[in-house]
Amino acid sequence: MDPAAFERDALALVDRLFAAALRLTRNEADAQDLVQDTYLRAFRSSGQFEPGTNLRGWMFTILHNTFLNQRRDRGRSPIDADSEAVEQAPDDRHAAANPEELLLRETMDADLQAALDSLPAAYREAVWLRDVEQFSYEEIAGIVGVPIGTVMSRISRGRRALYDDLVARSGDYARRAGAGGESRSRRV
Amino acid sequence: MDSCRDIDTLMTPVADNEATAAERERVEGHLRECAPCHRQMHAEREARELVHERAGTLVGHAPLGLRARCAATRAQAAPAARRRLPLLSGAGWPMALAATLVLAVAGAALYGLVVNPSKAVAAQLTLDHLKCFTLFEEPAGLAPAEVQAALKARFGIDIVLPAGQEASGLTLVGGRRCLYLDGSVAHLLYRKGAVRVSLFVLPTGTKLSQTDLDVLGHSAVAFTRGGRTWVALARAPHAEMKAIASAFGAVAN
Repeated sequence: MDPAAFERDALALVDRLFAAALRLTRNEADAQDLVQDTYLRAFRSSGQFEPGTNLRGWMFTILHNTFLNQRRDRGRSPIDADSEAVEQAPDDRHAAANPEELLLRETMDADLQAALDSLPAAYREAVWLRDVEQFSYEEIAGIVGVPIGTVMSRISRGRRALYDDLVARSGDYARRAGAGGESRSRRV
Repeated sequence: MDSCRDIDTLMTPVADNEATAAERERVEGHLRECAPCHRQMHAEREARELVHERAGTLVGHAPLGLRARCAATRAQAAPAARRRLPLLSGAGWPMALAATLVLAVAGAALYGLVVNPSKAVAAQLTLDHLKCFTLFEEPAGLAPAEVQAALKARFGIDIVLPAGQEASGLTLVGGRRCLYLDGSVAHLLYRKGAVRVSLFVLPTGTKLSQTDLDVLGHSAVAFTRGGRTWVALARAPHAEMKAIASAFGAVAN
């Protein structure tokens, strides 16, 4: 691929990569370092990229791997939910605290970001790649390096945890705001 | 009826419209009978819809400057190639151009609407100064004669580089051509200890209405030499900048 075209197409992804990096690191300075490091690796290995294939998937794969490497270098476990304990923890789905089904459409952006950030990292990444970036299950499996079944299970658990968290937040909000505070999550 | 466990693994593909019609029917049949699974499906769909709908807000914009820094990593990615052609190398051009565009946008945002064109030019030169030192400084230093010959041979920029400024502690550490001002600007990079000094040679006929400028925390002094406008620029107090400019042969004008 023509280096100038590669560079142009790769740099066009900077906003998306930064947003994903911010969710991975939950820290703006670390996210910037991560994205910069990602580009350095991408330019170094640009010869291995096959023109016509999925550059976005390729860049997100590098982002994911760079993140894991940085975490390892800093002596932290790469992704907390990679441990078998978390992955195979019994699903508490039938013990949901809220018997009612609430709508989330009035959730505030800040609450959504906070709820995303409080998810286990592997779930957060899976939900992000699927629901924000709209990658296919196969693409996510390739980016994250896990089987498709694991990808689907992470998306599922991530979404449910996100829902529960947002419902809890709206409940807190309602309690804080008194009787009029229910507006963000309407009951059906 | 399927067990809850069987249905559980199908909920995500159903929510994502990735399931087959048969799978969808199985799930929906089960959900009609099973309130706990119905709640799980509701949770999954609600969370999915919410994140999907807010994707634009969640992505937002990368911080100003990150893109340029990422573009700059390309020079780091191929350091060997750059060292083979230390001077005025063509290898860095597309990236340099991209970085220039980004910085030019930043410059335009800051100065594009000011009436004073000299200040706009100085802002552009300052941004170029910052960029080129980050990307193209040659720590070993360069011979002025070599730079002068290369500028002429490669870009047709026929200028006589100032000589004898070593006495003032200035070392030539880079030479580039920058593309703006309707032509080509020669950009010479010098070091004076820790201070990075740029010397720009504007195309023939380009004149600045102001000779002393302060922009973006940098001082610039413009002077005329050999029929062209030269601009010396650094992050230094204006008095020091005047001294540096005179070391380059500036005479009071």
